[in-house]
Amino acid sequence: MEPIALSPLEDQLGTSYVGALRKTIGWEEEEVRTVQVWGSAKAKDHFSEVVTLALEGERRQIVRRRSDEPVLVMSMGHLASFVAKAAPLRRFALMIVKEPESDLGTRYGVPFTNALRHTMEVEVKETAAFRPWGVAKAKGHFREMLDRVLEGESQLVRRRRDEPVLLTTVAQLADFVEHAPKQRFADLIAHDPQLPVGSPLEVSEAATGFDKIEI
Amino acid sequence: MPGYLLGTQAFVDAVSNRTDGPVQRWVRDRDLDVDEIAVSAVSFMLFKRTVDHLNLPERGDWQVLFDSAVTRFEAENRVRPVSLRIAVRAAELSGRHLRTTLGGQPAELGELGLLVLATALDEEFTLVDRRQSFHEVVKQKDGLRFVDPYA
Repeated sequence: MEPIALSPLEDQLGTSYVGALRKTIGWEEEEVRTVQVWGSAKAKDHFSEVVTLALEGERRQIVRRRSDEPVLVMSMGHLASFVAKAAPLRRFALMIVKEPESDLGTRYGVPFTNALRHTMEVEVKETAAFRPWGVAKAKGHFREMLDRVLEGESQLVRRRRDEPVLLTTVAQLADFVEHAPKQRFADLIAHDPQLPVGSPLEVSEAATGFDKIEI
Repeated sequence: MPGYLLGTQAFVDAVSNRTDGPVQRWVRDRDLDVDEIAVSAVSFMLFKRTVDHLNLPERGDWQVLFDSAVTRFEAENRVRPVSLRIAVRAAELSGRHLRTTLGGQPAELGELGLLVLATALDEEFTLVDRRQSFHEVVKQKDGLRFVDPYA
């Protein structure tokens, strides 16, 4: 597995930032292997993308340093964009907003809940497709992430206009990605008592009357 | 991480809603993530046409299973389309006159089967399906990766 090319970040932010980034997320072989569990190239690409996403556009406003640890200041829109591109993350993001609004609204405020719902663009029909995957586990994981960010370090939560903002360290984000729950293919095709059981069915092109094209 | 491409027969068996089929066992044994397995859009075409040719009541049951498979695989983005490269590759394979069996009789692999095979080759998937004589030929000549869960 090749490391993420760091030179563009160095160009934008200088070697000191990249050095801190490397240190914080453990950009060494052992840690990279851990992230590999989540999906090797895909995880790498998404992680690279979220860093780029956070650094581009509003670079001066959304990149900060705390001690020698780089901090990403991500709007919910940025986080939603990141999550939307990482399928396993998107699944539990969708589920958390499917929770009764009163619960999240009580804990985090109705504007936060509404913004979350808005930025994730949740549709009821989308959530229906995720039923076999394990709702409780997904909700628990996303809640844990929110709790850690919102309660564990209260200074990490801010409001910018009506949009909730999460300040999360790169290490926290890396941890979030690394522990993202995955859906097993076996669950996708698992027996569903609400569906009929198919009789043996042999598929062949001849049986469908599909003939070769003659010119 | 290209992963696996379910051949059409393996795909149909996988979504049959049975619990003890060879494909189900193969999937369970490997504990694969959903992102590691894909299906060609062409297999959905073959599947649908086969269902449409069934008699009642089997057709009704399989139509429900087909619709469910469409919903689930589309939601997970596990359907691979036919690209220009795949189409050209299938055309190249067509000249080989690859041999298979239809209803127990020897036959030449059809255009749709060629498209599924070309998808596996072009996107470097390991093809998962019941072994046919052409698999070994394509394995030797083109480096096809193949696994037979029915063996």
